[in-house]
Amino acid sequence: MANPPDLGVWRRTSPFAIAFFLGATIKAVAGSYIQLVASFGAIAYLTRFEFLSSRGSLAWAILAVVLAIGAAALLRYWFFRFKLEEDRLLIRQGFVKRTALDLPFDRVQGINVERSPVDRILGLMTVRLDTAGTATAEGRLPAVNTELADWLRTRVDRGRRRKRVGDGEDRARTPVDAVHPGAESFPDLSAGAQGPTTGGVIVRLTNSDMLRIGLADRKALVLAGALAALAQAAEPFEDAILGVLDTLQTAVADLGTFSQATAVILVVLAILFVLLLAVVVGAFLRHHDFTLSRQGTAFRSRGGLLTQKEVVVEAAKIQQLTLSRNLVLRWFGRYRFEALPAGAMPVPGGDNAGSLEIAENLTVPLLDGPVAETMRRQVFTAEAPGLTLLPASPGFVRVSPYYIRAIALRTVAVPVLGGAVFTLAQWGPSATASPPFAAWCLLWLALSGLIGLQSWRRRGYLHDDEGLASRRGLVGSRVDAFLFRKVQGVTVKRSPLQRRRGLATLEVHLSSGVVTVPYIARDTAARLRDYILYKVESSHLPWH
Amino acid sequence: MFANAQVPAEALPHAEQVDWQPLHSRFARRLQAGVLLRVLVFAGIGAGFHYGVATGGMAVLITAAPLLPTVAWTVFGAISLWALAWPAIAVPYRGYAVRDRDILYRSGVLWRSVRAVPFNRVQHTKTDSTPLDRRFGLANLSVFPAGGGAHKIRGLGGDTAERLRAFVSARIEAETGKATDFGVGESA
Repeated sequence: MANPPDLGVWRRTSPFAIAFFLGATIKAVAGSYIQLVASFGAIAYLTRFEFLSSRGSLAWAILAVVLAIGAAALLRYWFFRFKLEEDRLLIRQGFVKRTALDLPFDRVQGINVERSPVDRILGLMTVRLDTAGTATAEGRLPAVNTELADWLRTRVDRGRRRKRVGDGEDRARTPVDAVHPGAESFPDLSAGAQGPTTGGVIVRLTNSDMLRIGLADRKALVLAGALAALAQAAEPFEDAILGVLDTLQTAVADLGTFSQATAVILVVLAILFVLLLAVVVGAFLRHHDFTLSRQGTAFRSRGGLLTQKEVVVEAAKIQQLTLSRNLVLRWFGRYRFEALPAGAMPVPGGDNAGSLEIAENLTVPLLDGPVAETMRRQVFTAEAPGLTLLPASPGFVRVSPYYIRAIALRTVAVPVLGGAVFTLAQWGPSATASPPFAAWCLLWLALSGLIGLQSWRRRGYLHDDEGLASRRGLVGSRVDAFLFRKVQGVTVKRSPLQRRRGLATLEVHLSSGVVTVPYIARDTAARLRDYILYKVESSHLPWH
Repeated sequence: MFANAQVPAEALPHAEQVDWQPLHSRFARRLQAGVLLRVLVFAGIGAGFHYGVATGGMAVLITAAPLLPTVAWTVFGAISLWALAWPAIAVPYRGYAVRDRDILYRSGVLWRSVRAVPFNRVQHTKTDSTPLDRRFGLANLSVFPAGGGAHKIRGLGGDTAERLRAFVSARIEAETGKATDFGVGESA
């Protein structure tokens, strides 16, 4: 174990952290850019754009903004100090609003490391400690060296172990180490028997995987939309574009059969290709050389080309597993996997539940079904062997068909009512009886019916004695799975329609979020609720 | 799919068949008093605006749409009356029940819900009361499970809230002593 340079001394991080604070300040400024643009627009309007005409004052303004950001970054660096102690890390920061953070190592959920290219050249990294129990806390140490990061890691590990031993609990009974009291009877289901052995790499992404991630990225769609909007905006330049095309055409005229239409299609295809390439490159930058591996009791993911990112999450802290896929991923036969650790817990004396920081999720951007099942077995160990994360599993039970009606009502109400109000306001009451309006209503009815039907087909749930998996989706699909003993609270809800039909919606509150099972028989919901409560209240295993 | 060999589902205690405790009898009136205060404030603002429009430079607005003030005041009156009546309808549907190992809270007139929070998941508890609450001798109890989202029971009698809080805290202490890795520091 690396020895820390000095314990119990307040100190600053390396001056290179100024770059980190500069980035953070710029991000904070950019985060509120809408307000900035709005106020800038208001000023511009009020002064009738006069200040823009005098170049000098604009330059001064920009200079002032740049200086202010630089000064803020410098001040933030100067006032950021931390102290290492045997069992905790203390951070003091802020020059306007001062905050002091006290992080006992045994409360740290996971350590994440980020390295920018500059960091890597200098052998530095940014360490982030995810915790439960501190609201709005940023346990983040910018620009520290490798020794310190290693020291922190071993300390966090040791703190965790000491806590477990200190609790007087037989270590073999904690869920991390193979674990379930009944595990002896299912030796083939214990961690490692089926999946890769402890310490092994579970997922490694290749370059062709990067291509898949890029293609499945939602940004590809957004970019295509942006391209369409851009084409609209480019209308005034149509002549110029056509001129270019003309020259292109004459240039390739010798080749023969090029018409203007093919040229346009080619140009559009080329632009689309470039945009897709950009998205794929983005995936490359984020996930290059991505590996997910098991490290003792924790999972570690690491990836990224320029900025390397490492996320470490303790298996025991994971509250919920999520497997999802959209159309493109479905086409590739792959999934996206997420393991959600416990969210931050409320602090005594405060009830700012909305502003709690959530610990970082362990995300695998691309994996196939068998590996996802391996991950589930490794996280849940011998518990809940009857669960599955695969949405196509035949074990999923459908919810009541009245769900179709509920979804259809929800999707139909707003557009039809909105359309009616709009029509009334625009053309008077007589127009609401007109054929176009009726057609509009019919169209929406049909569409919402289809949406309801499809949502219902995707909805489903599956459970055994230890856990539950809930499936949902419209185009893609997503499965959330959790163990009963990690539940924080249960709600049974009944709408007027549900009460007439003897149905109910079950809401399960986890430390990582809420999982819903809608429109199941009331008795089933009540029985599940009572059973979950029984499991939670009789479980003596730690839940995080 | 529900295979439950160890514990027959019928043997589990049913959360519905509990003795629901109603909220304090003065709670509906306290809510109505709150609504009344807000209605008065909005009515004052509205009256001021009305007067300003009628006498000021925007009198054109009233000559253009002479029915506008009447319609606006009618809508305002209807909403106010509804808001004043609502607590009397809704409060009887709310209630709580404390069991040995969890606390239940039900609410909702049309959309009904029953929420259960086990004591061994509660991080801490809190009671609070606004000046208006105190005038009516009421207090609110919040229990905080992990992962955010307070579980708040409004409209308890002041001493009931305090007794409940003490009870829940005692239960948490007991559970913490029993559980293995539960403590996150509060009890240490």
